[in-house]
Amino acid sequence: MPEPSPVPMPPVRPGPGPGPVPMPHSTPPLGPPPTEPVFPYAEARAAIRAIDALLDDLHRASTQHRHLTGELILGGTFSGTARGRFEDRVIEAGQEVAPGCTAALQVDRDWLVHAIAAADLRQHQYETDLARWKAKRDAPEPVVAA
Amino acid sequence: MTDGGVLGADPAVLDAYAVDASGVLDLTDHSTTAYGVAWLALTTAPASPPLGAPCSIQGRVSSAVSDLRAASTSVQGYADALRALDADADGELDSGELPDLTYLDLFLQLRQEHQPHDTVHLDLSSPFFLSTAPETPAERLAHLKRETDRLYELSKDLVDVNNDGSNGEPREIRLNLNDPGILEGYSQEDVQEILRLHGIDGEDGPLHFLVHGFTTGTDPLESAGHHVATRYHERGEDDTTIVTVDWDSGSGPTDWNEARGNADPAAAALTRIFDALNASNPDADVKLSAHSLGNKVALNALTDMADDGGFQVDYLAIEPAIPRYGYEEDANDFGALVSDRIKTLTVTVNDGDDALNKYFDYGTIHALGEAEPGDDSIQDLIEARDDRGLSTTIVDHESGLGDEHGEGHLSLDPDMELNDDSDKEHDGNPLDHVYDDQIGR
Repeated sequence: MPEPSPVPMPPVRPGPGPGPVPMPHSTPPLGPPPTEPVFPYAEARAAIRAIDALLDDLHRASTQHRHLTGELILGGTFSGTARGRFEDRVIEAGQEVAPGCTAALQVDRDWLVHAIAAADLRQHQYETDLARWKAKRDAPEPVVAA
Repeated sequence: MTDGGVLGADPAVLDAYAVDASGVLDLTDHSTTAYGVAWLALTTAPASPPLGAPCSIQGRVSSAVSDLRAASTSVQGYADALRALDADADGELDSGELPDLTYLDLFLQLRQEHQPHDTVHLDLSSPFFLSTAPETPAERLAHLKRETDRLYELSKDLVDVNNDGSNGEPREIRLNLNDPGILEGYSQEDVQEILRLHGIDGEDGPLHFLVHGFTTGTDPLESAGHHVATRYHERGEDDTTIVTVDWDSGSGPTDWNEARGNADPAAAALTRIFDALNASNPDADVKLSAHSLGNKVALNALTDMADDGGFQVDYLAIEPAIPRYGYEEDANDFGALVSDRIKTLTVTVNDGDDALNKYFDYGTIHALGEAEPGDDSIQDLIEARDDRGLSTTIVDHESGLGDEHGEGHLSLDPDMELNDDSDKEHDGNPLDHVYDDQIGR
């Protein structure tokens, strides 16, 4: 048996009433304003400058040190098994300075640059959210006729 | 030079490398600190959301640079090894001289153990270590270790460095002779080496010895030493070394007899020092100032010295607590007063010296320091010295200024505040100008 076709509901007519009434639950309530993120920009930039200066100094010192060590070891005035041991020791210690420490500093520098960029994004997002929130707050409440 | 041996190098080149390589690493010190400060400021600054920063690696950087510096300066140990062990001076420690690196490590360990001692380094390149060393490398190193251990033991008990001169001012060193047997078991060569290691051999400049009298505590001695050092500094004579001599003069103001008894063994120990100095450098420019009973110590020491050598001193006797005619009647103890050992003599006297009257007890014999300038003993002393062409100055300290032992008895220390309960006239502390006169000679 075919199903009976649904019976259309009669149109609702507006009946007599007190007039326009607010439409309950037509918009969500206004929440608290967004929280502004805090990021230590000045300290972060100072830290980058400090890392850059330290990297410069470590690279310069390391280069000069290698040059001096090379002159000593290859200069022909230093010989014997003690020289080999010295060479091993100084090379190993030198590698911990560069690239050991310089690489680690570079990683921290990269992290910091990324952190600043992320902070910029958060700030931008905050400003957008705040503007939206203010717009909602300041907008007239919608009304409907009762 | 071959690669077959343990070590071959020019020590001067190694030293220069150590200085230069260490110097370039110094470049990083400031920026490492600045980085640490900046990173700390970053990680402690307010942040929301939390920063989550990685930890600072300041410690790692400092440690890495420090390790590299240590590796670089380790060649100074090699340079010292060459200077100490390369007896044929061919610039190489070959397998015949040093079998392998184990022996070099022994040497470096020895060097590490004995440097620094105070601020004086035990210099293993001294001929003292090399000249008596056995032939084989192992024996030589064992000998070296024995000798340095032995001298180190003596050195740390005998010598205190109050000012090593690194501030550009005269060095101030204290010799501790409180244990008069401290030098027993040590040869004259040992003592010479100790004096050389501590720069008390007069090779680097004049020496000024100060010997205290009947007193407890070392403050007046140190103060006097510093006063004299300051006077030399004011004159621009910063190469002078001040040597204060401490000895056991009793433990209290009633221990006069104990102090007098201790003066003899203290003098014997000081004789060893003077004999070693005479053997090392008979032409050393030496001044000696002694106070009260310290004159017994100093004069006995000078009198008992071995006859050889031309060692001479400029001597200031401050109110000496010695017998008036000691130089004549007890020449074995005080004969130096009228010998060439004391080329210039200054004696301060005060016939109103209560301390010497009170303590000095030789029966009917009175102290030289409480004589009047016109006393026969003084005049005879001047004459005896004149006969040998030796200069003598008598300073009459005719005042009531005195130290804790009594009215009219000066101190070794010109800066000590003196009492004056008498009604005698005085014109300041006479020590001021007698010290100045001695220092200026």
